[in-house]
Amino acid sequence: MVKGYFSLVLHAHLPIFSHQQTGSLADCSLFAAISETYIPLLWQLEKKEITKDFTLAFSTPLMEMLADPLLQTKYLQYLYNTEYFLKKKAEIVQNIEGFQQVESYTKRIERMRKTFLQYDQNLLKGFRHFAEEEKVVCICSSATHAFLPYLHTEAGIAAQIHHGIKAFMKHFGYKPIGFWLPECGYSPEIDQILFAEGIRYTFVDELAIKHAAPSPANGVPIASPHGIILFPLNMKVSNQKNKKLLHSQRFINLIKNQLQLNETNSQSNFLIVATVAADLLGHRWSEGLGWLTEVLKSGKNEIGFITAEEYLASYLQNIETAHVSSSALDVLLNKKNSWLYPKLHWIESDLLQLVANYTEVKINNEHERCLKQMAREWMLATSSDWAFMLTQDHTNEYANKRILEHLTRYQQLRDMLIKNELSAEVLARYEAEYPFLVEIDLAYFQSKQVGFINQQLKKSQILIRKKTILMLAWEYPPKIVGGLARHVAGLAKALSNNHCEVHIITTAVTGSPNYEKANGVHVHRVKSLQPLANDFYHWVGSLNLAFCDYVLQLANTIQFDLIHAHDWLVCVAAKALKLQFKLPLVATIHATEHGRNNGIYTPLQKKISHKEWELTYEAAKVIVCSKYMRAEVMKVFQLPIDKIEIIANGVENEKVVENTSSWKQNYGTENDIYIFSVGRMVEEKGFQTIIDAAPSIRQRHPKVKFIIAGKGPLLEDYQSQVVAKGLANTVYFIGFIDDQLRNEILHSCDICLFPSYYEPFGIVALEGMMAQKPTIVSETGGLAEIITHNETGLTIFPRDVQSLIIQVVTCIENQSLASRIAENGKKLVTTKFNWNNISKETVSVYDDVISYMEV
Amino acid sequence: MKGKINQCVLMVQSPSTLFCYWKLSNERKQIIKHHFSEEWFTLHKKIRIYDITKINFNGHNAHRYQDISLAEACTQTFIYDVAPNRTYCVDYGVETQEGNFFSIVRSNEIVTPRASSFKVGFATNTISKWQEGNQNDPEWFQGYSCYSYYEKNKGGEYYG
Repeated sequence: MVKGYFSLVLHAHLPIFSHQQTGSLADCSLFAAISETYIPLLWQLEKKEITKDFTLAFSTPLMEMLADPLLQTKYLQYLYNTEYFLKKKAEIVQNIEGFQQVESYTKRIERMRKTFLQYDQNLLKGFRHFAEEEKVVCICSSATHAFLPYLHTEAGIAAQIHHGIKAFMKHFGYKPIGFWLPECGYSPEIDQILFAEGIRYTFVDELAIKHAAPSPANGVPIASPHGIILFPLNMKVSNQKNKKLLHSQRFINLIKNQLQLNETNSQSNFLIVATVAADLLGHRWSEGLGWLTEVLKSGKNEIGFITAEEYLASYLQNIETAHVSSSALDVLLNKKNSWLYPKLHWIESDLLQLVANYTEVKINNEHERCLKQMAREWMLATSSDWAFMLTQDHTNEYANKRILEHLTRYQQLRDMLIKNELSAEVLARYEAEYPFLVEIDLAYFQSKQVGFINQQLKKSQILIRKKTILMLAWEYPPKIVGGLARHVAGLAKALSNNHCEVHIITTAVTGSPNYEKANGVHVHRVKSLQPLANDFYHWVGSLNLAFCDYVLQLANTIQFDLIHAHDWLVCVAAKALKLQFKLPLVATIHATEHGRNNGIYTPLQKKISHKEWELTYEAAKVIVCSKYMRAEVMKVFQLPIDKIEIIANGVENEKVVENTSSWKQNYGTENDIYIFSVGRMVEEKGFQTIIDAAPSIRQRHPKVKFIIAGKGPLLEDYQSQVVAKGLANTVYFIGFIDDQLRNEILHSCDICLFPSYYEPFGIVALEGMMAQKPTIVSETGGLAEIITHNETGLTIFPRDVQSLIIQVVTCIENQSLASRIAENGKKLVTTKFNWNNISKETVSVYDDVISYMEV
Repeated sequence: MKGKINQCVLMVQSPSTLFCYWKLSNERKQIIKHHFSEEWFTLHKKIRIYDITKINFNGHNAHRYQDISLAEACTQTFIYDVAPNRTYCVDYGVETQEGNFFSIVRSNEIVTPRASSFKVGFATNTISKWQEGNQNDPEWFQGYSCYSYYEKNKGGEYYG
C-alpha cells in the first residue's frame, strides 16, 4: 500500500424552491435528487464494508427541504404515482426486455418507498443514524449557501454561519466540528467566526493554502490564525469535468500516483482531499454511485482512506499555522451579476440597523416575526446559486425572478414594519412558501459595537430629558488655535451645569479620544477623509462632510433639540443638518473675514465671507460678543438688529491659578518690570506697535521686559526685527506656550498689554483682569466696551506708538492708579463675564428659537 | 433601493481585478453643491484607488494611487490590473477647481489574494512593523490664524 492518505468529501446542496407550486422546478430537482442520490446513498451506507470512508456536508436549504412535511408528503405521492404509472406501463409493454425493465424499475421504486418510510419520510434521520453508527461523518454549511466573502458585514457572515450550524443541530442532534464553506469561500473574518462557533475544521482551495504565509508544506492541512484546521482540496482530483476520472480505476490510479510522488519526502501524513457534488452521484451522472462503490471497494486495497476528523485525531500536533487570503470567485462577481451586490448589501446593512432599532425599544411579537421573515428573505437572496445562474443563459431568467422576488418581499415587509401595518396574512404566506429556518436568532443580526455605544448614549438621555444641543466647533481643547476653542469649552461646561446636554462635534486630534464625556460635556472628535489636505478651503469642506456623516449616525440614538454652530468653518454641516433634521439653528459669529482683513480682497476671502453670510442667513438667531461686533455683522451681512443677540464672552476663574515658577530667570531678574502680551502672530494683534514703542520706554525704564507669547506667520519677522533694532534684551517673542506657563506668567507679571488693531472681543484681556493685573488695551472693538479708561484699565489708540508709550509709562509710574484699576478690573470680570450668567443668557436664546419652531 | 446611505464598497473579483460600487444620497449631493457653490452635475466625478498595504491610512499616505475619471451617472466599475497581495481602498469624489481630488466617500479596505507562493521572510519582518500615518499639521497650518487664511502675495506682503 502506498504511503499517505486520501479523503473524500461529498457536498450536498440544492437551492430552496417554492413549496406551493406542484410539478414545479422544485419538485423535479428535489424529487430526482432524493430518488437518484440520497436514497441510494443511504443504501450504500447500509453496506457492512463501509466504515467512515467519507465526509458528507449538508447545506441548510437541502436539510430544510428534506425535513419539510409538505414536501415529504408530495414525494411519497410522487412515488405512488410512479408506481401506478409503471403498473400501467407493464400492462401495455409488448416485448420481454421492456417488461423486465419495467419490473426492475418497479422493484427499485418499491425499495425506495420502503426506505423512505423506514426513516419516517425524513431521510435526514437515516443519515443521522449512520453518523451515530460512525459509518459516515456529517457536517454542516452556511444558512443559504452564500459565498461568505461577498457578504457585506461581519454580522451577516456570523448570522449565515450560526444559522447553518443551528439547523444542523436541530436535524442531527449534535454540534458539528466540521463546516463546509460554500464554494470554498474563506476570509480571515470567517476564520474568527467559525472559531467562536466551536468549529474545528473546514476545507479550502489548495491554491489558497499553497499561497499562504508563511509557505506551508505541500499536501497537509494548516491551522488558520484562530486555529481552524484548513484542509486543502486537491483540484486536480476534484475536477469533475475531467472525463477520465469518471472511471473508478483511473481515479484510484491518479490518487496513487500523486501519493507515490510524495513517498520520497518521507512525510507519513501526506493527504489528498477530493470533493464531489453529492447530486452528481446518481442524479446528474447515473453511474456515479456505482463509481463511488467501486472507488471505495477496490481503492481501499491500494490507498488509505481517512476522514478529516480521523486525520485530525492522529496528526493535530504536526499542523503548522499560516495566514490564508480571502477568497474571490469571478464566476460569482462579473458583469452579468455585479448589479446584485449593491442591492444585497443594502438589505444587509438595513436589516442590521432595523434589528438594532427595534430591539432597543421593547420589541413585540409581530415586529419580531416580521424582522425574522425579512432576515429569511435576505438569506434566501444571498444564495450563491443565483449569482451563478445569472451567468448561464438557460438559468438566467429563473435566477432573476427569484432574486427580485426576495428583494421585493424584503421591501414589502420593511414598509409594513415601518408603517406599523403588519399583515399576518402576508407574513403567513411568505413563511409558508419557502419554509426555512423556523428559528431565527435576531441577536446575530446586531453589530455588538454599535449596540454598546447606543446603550451608553441612550442611558444618559433616558434618565432626564434635558435640552439637547448639537454644538459644532472646528476647534476644541486640547486643539486650541484661537479663542474659539476656549470659548466653546467654557460655554459648554456652563450649559451642562444649566440643565442642557451638550454634544460637541469637533476635529479629531492625535492623542485625544474620539468620544469622551468631560465636565459633563459629550465631546465627539471626528476625523475627515483628507485631514492633511493642503487646500484650506477644501480641508474645511472635507471636515464638514465628516461632521455630517457622524451626526447622521449619532442621531439614530440621540434626539437633538437645537444646533449651535460656531463660525463659518462649520457652515456647510450646520445647514445640511438643520435641513435634514428640521432643527433650529443658532450661530455664534466670533469674528468676520471682513473685520480680520479690513475688507475683502482675495477670492478665498470672498468665499469665506460668503460662507459667513450663509451661516447668519440660515440661523434663526446670531450671537455676537459685543456691540462692536453687532454693528459689524449688521454692516457686512445686512442682518436685521432683532436677529442678533449680544452675549459677552466669559472667563473662568479657576483657570488663572496662582503659581510661582522661575520663568523670569530666562529673561532677567525678579526686580524687572514684566509686561505680558499673548496672541496669534498676525498683524491685527498689533505687536508691531510694541516693537516700535519699546526703545522710548526702555530709555525711561531700562528694567522693562516685554514678554510676548504666541505663534503665527509673523513670528520670525518680529523676532528678526527685535534683533535688528537691538531690542533683544527688552522684547521677547517666546513663541507658543502651554496653558500652565501662560497662567503662571499672567499671574506673576506686572502689566498686561493688548494693542490689537482689530479685536471683536478680547478674552485674553479678561484673563489679565481676572489675575488682577493693570490691563492696557486698544480702544477698538470689544476691548473698548470692556474697559473704561482710568477706571477698569487703561486704553490706547490703535496703531498709535505715542499713545502706547504714555499709557505704559503711566502704569509703571502711578502705582496707586495701577492697583486701583487692577482691583476694579477684577471686580468687573467676576461679575459681568461669568460663564454661569452667560450660559443662562444663551439658554434663553435657545428657548426663544425653539419656541419659534413650535409655533 | 431607498435610504439615506452614502457608501462606497470594494470587492475582490480576482487577484488582479476589483469591483467597486458607490451610492450618494440626495442630501449628500446638496452638501457638496453647497460647499463648491456649483451644481452637482457640473462637477467632474472620479474614483481614486489607493494602495495602502501595511499602512495606517489617513487619506494622504498611500504608497501610490491612481485616478479613474467617471461618466456622470456611473455607479459602479471594475478596476483591472491591480496587484495581488496588496491592500486597497477607493475614494469616490470630485475634482476641485484647482485640480485636486476631493473625497466624498471612502470604501472599505480589501486585500487582494496572493497569486503566487509566499516568499519567506517578507511578512515575518514587516507584519508587526506597521507604517504609522504622518499626523503632523497640514502645510497650510502655519499660515492660518483665527479662522482665516493669511495669504502671501507675490511681493511677500500680508493682506490685512
